[in-house]
Amino acid sequence: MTDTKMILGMAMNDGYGALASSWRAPGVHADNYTDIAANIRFAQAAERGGFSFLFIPDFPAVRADVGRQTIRNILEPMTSLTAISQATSRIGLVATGSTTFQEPFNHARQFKALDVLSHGRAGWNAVTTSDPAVAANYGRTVASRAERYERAHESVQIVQALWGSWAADAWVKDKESGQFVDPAGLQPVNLQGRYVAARGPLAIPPSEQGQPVIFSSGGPSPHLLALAGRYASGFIGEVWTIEQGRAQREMVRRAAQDAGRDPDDIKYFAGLMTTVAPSVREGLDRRIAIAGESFPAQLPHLSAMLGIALGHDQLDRPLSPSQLAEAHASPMDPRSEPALEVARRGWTIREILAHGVIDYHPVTVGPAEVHADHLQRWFEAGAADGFWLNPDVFEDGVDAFVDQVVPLLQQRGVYPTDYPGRTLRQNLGVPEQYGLDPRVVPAANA
Amino acid sequence: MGMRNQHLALALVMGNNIGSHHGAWRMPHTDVGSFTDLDAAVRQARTAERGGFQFVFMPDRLFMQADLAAAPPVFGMDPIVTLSALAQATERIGLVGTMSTTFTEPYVLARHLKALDLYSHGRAGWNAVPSYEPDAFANFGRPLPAREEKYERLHEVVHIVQALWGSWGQGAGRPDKSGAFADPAQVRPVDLQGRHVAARGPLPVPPSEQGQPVIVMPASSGYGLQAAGMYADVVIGMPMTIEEGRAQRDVVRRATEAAGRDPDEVTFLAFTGFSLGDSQREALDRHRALDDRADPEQAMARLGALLGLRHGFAHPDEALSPAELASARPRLAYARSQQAFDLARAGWSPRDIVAHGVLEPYPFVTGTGEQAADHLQAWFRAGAADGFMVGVDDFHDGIDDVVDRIVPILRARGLFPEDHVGTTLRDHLGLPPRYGLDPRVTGNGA
Repeated sequence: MTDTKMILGMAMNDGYGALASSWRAPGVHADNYTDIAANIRFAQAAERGGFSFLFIPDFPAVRADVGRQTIRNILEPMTSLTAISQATSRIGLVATGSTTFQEPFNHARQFKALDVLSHGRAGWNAVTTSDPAVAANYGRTVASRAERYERAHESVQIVQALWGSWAADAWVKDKESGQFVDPAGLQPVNLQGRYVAARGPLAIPPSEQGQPVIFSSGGPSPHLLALAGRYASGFIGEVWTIEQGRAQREMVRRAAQDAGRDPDDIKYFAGLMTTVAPSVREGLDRRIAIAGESFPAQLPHLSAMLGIALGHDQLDRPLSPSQLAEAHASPMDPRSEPALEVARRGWTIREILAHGVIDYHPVTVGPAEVHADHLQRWFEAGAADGFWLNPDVFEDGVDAFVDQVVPLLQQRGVYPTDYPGRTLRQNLGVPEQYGLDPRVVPAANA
Repeated sequence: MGMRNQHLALALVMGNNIGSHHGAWRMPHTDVGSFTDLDAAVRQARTAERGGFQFVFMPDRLFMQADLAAAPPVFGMDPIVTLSALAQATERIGLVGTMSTTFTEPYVLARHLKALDLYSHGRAGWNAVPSYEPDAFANFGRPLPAREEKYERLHEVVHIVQALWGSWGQGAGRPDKSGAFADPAQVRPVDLQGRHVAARGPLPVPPSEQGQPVIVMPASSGYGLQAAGMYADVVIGMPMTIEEGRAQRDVVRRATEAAGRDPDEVTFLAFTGFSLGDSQREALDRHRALDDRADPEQAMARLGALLGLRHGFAHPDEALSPAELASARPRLAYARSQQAFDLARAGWSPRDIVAHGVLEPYPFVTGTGEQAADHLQAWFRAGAADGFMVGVDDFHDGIDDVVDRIVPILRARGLFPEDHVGTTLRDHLGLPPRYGLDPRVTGNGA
């Protein structure tokens, strides 16, 4: 444990940033959504900071009013990561792909092709999909949770079996004898589930890391934990406090253990949204300037979280002593406790909201120390093996983090000064795997 | 029909990065690892781009066609992934890939292809083919459906893909930081439900520089021909003679007209291949070196069958004896047999006859750049093709050969443009603009 360093990843989306109105921020190019050069720029900056991976969530449907908001999602994960792979050399490339709506053969092929082209840097965040808008885009209805997860298990197993179907030593390339591949090492997988099946083999040899790394993401339901515990080497979490992080990380590790694996085989990542600025004050001002218009609409939510009535006339005042005495963190929202903490420090309502207390992840605002302190505290408390960062505005937020926070983490000895290895697997510190994991799927070696 | 393009089109058939000849991988200069080496593919595509080719083409099948014991796969690792990478390494050349309509949802196809189109600034094309091989269905765990369903699903998929492409209207505008991200009235669901596939949409991908990807289809008959007439901008055929080419091209043009379109909107491309040298002897020797590394005995047997000979050749390196010639029973209605017989009577040895390319799956020129250019000119002038899908025996230097030996002659004869016309694939091929569904084909386009 002594020598273990934290791992950093970065989420990518439509090219603007984690803040809802980041596309309107000064210095941001409005066309970033359709301009892959933008995400390439951000990926290169993250690579300069030694980030282990880029993580691409995916929601393949339009969820907002495209008049007022951006798409909040990358144009398309595989084509984007493939383009990015050509402009980077070390950073991992993790894309979300739904086991609910895609065929294992297609997934196996595209992810392994990316893995080979990127020299062992690909990862697959294997998710299930329950959103009706997404289902409608695939012309389907939403399946039951039991069915979705059964299909997910089948899909991941078939994908991994296909990955292993070109055996590691099969490519003999013997020009003299004329043998290209040893056919004994390139055999069908012949797997038939209830929902999906494939014969194989898949004509793609191993990459430098063997095969892509599997990730899981989402709230740790028993269904998801069973899936992640068996197959995932990385878990993308959503937690707001150290206690939640420790609890979830422990659940994920236990799930791996229950599946017959070593708990260190799965790395848990907590999210963080960052606003790097010379001071907390300037950071809050930056957030207010970009996203402040949406704050009044967030008042009822904040009121509910704190259990007190907050009026529009109070936006620029802190909570009164009586409000503070009355306030209590709502058990209905895991963000309430951190929100109450910010309120107790005497910030005005507008500033409390500028702290991002209703955002999707914890938010750190201010100079490098603020971010480094948060990351170090969480890491050393065992709340995460690493973090997936969501910069407020990509255009300058990635560089700011890399130039200011990363050196501080390195000085403190909690973050590596260079990539530990060449492949995503090496940089995550997860073990070799090719094909199915015999500890998890014992019968599949046939 | 005076609208016909005065220039012929050229497309490079890519695939395994090694060459179309089965012996190419065993040549001393070949790096067998090229199969998975994107840098090799990049060099090939850039060479074609340097030669002014209109597009590169990644053929595909969704199963392994042989056990790879004696030769590499014909196809690459994955077309959309490879083309996405090539888009970053090229600037002008079109990027066309085969993607089956049978196993992937139209939303996924539409998204992949239009993302590639945007990232390449309007250079993407889609060879839309239905799968109908039992081996492909096995990789998706499905039984082979009734034959009529093959094209029924293709129609639904192409229709929905085009509708999704058009669902982000051209009038939606570019993101305006002081106004709207897009005009919501121009981003509408498609709500299409077929028997096999469906999608709600919209697809949140704005138009590319060419609007949407070019649609390519193979020359076919029956339902396949009807589909090409309705949707295809480019039709690819494999005629063996000028007469066949003219007939196929005419059939395609008539099908286009029958679908309510202008026949001059469709570009008919014929496959052809080359082995080139300073002299015909040098070219023959080049081809023979490849033949020696494939399966020479099988080649002799196949040539014997073409010539209708009962026994093997007594002297494969010598001209056929009068007795051998007298006993030949070529199937003269079959162009390949006729060609082989003509060559035999002209005194070529069996190995030289094979080196002329008589066993290749498409018309083949083994000779000088002048001879190759004569072939292309004859076909083009006779109305047998609007352009050519160029197969190259050995990618090591074969693509450079085509570019350096044939293209300058075609240019000098006024048959090929001095440079790329415009920046998009549609520009290169002289295709009319197209966005969304074609109202002439689908009625009101709704």
